[in-house]
Amino acid sequence: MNTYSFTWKGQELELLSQKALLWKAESILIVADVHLGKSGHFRKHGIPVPDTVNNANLRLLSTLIEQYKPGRLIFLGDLFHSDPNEEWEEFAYWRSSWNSVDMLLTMGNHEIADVSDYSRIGLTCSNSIELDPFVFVHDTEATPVTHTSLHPVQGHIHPAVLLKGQGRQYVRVPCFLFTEHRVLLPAFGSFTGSYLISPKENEHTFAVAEDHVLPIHPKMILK
Amino acid sequence: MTGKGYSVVNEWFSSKGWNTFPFQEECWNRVLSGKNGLLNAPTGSGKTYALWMPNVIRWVDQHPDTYTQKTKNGLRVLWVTPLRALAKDIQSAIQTSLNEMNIPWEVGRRTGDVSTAEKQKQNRRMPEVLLTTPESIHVLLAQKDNIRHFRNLDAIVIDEWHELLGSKRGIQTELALSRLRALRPNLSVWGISATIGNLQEALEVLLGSDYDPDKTTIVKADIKKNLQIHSILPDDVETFPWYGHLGLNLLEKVLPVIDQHHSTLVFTNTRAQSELWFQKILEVRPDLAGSLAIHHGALDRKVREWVEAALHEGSLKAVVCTSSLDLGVDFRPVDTVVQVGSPKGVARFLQRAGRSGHRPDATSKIFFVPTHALELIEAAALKSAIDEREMESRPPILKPYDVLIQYLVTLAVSDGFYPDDIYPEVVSTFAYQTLTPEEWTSILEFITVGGKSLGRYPEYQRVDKMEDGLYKVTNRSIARRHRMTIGTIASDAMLRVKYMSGGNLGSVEEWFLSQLNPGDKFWFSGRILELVKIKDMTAFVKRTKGTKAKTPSWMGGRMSLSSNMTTILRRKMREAIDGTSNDEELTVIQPILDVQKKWSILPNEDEFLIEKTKSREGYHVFFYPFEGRYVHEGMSSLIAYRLSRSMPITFSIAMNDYGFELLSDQEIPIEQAVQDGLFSPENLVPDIMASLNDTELAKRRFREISQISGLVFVGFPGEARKSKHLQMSSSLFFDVFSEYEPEHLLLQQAYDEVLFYQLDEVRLRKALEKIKQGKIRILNVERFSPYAFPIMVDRLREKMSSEKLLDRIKKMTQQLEKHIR
Repeated sequence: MNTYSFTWKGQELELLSQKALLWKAESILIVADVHLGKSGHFRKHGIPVPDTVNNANLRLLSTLIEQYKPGRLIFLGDLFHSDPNEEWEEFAYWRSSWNSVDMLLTMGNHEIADVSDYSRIGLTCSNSIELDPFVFVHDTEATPVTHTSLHPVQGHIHPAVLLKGQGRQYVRVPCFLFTEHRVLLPAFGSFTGSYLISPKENEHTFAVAEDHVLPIHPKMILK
Repeated sequence: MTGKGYSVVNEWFSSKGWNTFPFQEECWNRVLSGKNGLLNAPTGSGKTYALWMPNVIRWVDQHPDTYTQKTKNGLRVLWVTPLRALAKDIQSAIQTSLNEMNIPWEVGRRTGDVSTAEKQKQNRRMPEVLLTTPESIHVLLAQKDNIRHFRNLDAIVIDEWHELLGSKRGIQTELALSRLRALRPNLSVWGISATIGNLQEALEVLLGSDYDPDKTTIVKADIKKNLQIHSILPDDVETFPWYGHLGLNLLEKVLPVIDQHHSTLVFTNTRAQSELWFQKILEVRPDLAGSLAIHHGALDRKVREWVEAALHEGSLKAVVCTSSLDLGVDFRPVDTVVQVGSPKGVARFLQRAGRSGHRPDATSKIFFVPTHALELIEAAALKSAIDEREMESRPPILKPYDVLIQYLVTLAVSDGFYPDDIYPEVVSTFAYQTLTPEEWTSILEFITVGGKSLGRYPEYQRVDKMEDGLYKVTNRSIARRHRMTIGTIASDAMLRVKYMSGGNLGSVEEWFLSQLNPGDKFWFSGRILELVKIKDMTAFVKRTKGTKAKTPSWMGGRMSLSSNMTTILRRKMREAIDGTSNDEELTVIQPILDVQKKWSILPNEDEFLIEKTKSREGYHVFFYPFEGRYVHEGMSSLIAYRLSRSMPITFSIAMNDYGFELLSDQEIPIEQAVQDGLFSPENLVPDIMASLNDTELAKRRFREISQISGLVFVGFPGEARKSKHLQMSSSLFFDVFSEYEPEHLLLQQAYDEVLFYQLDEVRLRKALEKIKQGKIRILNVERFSPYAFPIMVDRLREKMSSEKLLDRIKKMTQQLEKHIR
């Protein structure tokens, strides 16, 4: 596995190819849009999706925790896809095996259950988490950031870019985006789609390809 | 024939001043003697009366003294048509005949177009005759206690059976028939079909296991229609485009055709094309405003009905339309048809031609408008195909799991079903005759527990297995969603288009509207609209002026030339090259062939041409098997796969009906590959299977499968979207299943469909043998030849790669750096 170090707003950030962000100095691991329980939600409504999808997400989180041993894990919203279901219990069980890690959740538009449901399974909920110089939030449009001096780190978008090469080749890859003021994280969940974005010239895009994170020149991106 | 019924019907014919045709009386006799069968008759030949009148005769004979009084007799006759518009026409023909014979039967219609109030009225009491579509029968079968509707059913007629056969709607029809036959064992079952290559098979598919050579029959109408075919030819072929599909270059030559006739249908192949033609005609000929109309499937029902009524009355000079007006509807005033672009098959061309001169003795007239140079050869091929009466076959689809899944859930939504009762019915159909008990079990598992391994599908809920073994849907929202999604035509999510002031215009794909911002203009329903806002799956618009506006384009799959057509096309190509033909089209195209000869070669009978070109885009290799788009889809992925095995390489692949192109950013070692057996029929099957895994062909098939089987549903135009959390793209499902459950039965179906349509081993092997036996000519060409050009400009492409994603992105970065430097 390969990571990419990028210094932004004076902080050294590790971009992980598992579509997660590591803030080493603070020992914080950040993931966005896991959409746990999505496959179960589909099943409940008559659409069969195997639950191996859910397990794969949790296994990957375990691997990251073992490798980077973060003190805190921040979920940038849409950790759960919908109402509590059996996959929540799987998460609760998994969560209890990582008691040493603080787990925080910034509420996303998919977090439609009661706050008590989330705290019951060991998550500290809030709309945003301020840690200078960043503010962690699901979506800045839904949760406007009050401290303009802080830089939002957000999920929600599921960003991806379409790269163009010679011979009419196109490649669609999920990406991290660093704009002048904020960071967009790719969706962590394996059963989620992605949304094509068109970064501006002065913005930094990092694509996740196989087990690598690669800086992308803006000219390579099809707009 | 004697009896009261017969004389009532005969008197009615006499009162109209009509003679019966021999084929009509033959049908009456056969039906009344208890035979099932197929009537082979073209539209406009009196085929409706051939299969309708036996019902009258039977009824009058059963009630000779009371037939003029008896009302509320229950549903007696189901008449199934593939097209809603058709149902209306037949309804009025049948109702008129009943009224004039003093039989107080009611004739109703039940299609997607019929109001809920009307349907509820029917639910309380069915009319004696019901015109309907395959989808609407299934919606009926999803009703609770639907059996009550069919207690008195005597006969079912499947009109335009050739249109349904070979499609999943045909499978739906077969399944509905299996249910109705089980409810009414003596049901009279008849189909009506235009001439196709496999009429006998069409009959066997219709009747399934009830097919019995002694008790079934084909009646042929043997009416030879007079037909005139004209090609509209460019004056100067040198300035005629080498590619394109719009055909507007010849607009000026189409206008006189419209002027010289009473009423013309202008058929285009896509909705976008019909919108563009409509615009352009009005631009050039504003005087036609008011007497020119547009008709396609996305327009609102009321708009379509208005156009149809106006065509009937003869008040329209011309209508620009799509396949929405392909079938049966009787527009007597229409005296000529224009076909823009390749109709792709002989049968479709003939069918469209038959929209004009829609009376037994009238002449049908059709003008073919080529949209690019090579289509001139197609024009010549169409003419000779029709001369030789070379009709295509419609091979029936076998065992599609998705349609069966949908059907079983339909039954489970109604009163539930016992598998032991339904299995024999299902395997009595032609489509599922080879369904094994194991496959049946897997399908039952799919709808009850989600998949083969129960552990993987906790909390799954769709169909419940009750204690007594009844399979039933108990969850109301699942039942409701299922009822609303019955059907086998895959579609994109659609938004309703509505004026701010009220009034529906139709519906447009969500992906198109999502690219527009409020204030943007687009063409729809023949006018320019401004998008105001999008709310609850509805796009609110207002009328606006101007000339610049986007036209909703069409993303669906593209049709392929039928294999009949490709055979004749190759022959015509030959004649054009050898100069042995008198066809005017082949004379006109000579200058283009001269260019081909000058820049490349015109391959001989036993030569197979491969052209190599380098351009700014990269390295191109073109192949010309002239086997039709579908075969080229399969062959190109096979060839690309074989090339990619020897080295890491990425291809972008394009194709049309004449050939295909492989494009790469690196040189393609084609000479070496040909020497090493690129076209070898050896190892064909393993290579086909491997290439299948490396392309998107199966994924694309999966789109339709996932909609029919209920994995993906797209919401409904005009409905508030409550179910956003249940929406997921079919391609994500495909990836998830490929990763976690590769043996999934719906994935298998996707692969089987590709093997059936695009990678048919027999056809591929034959094509490869042909190439191998001949001489392969690989030519380096400086410029894209007339053969290559239309393929090269196509933007709809397949891809195949044996390079690692990471390496490809690194390479793209290097290319860019080189470019910047």
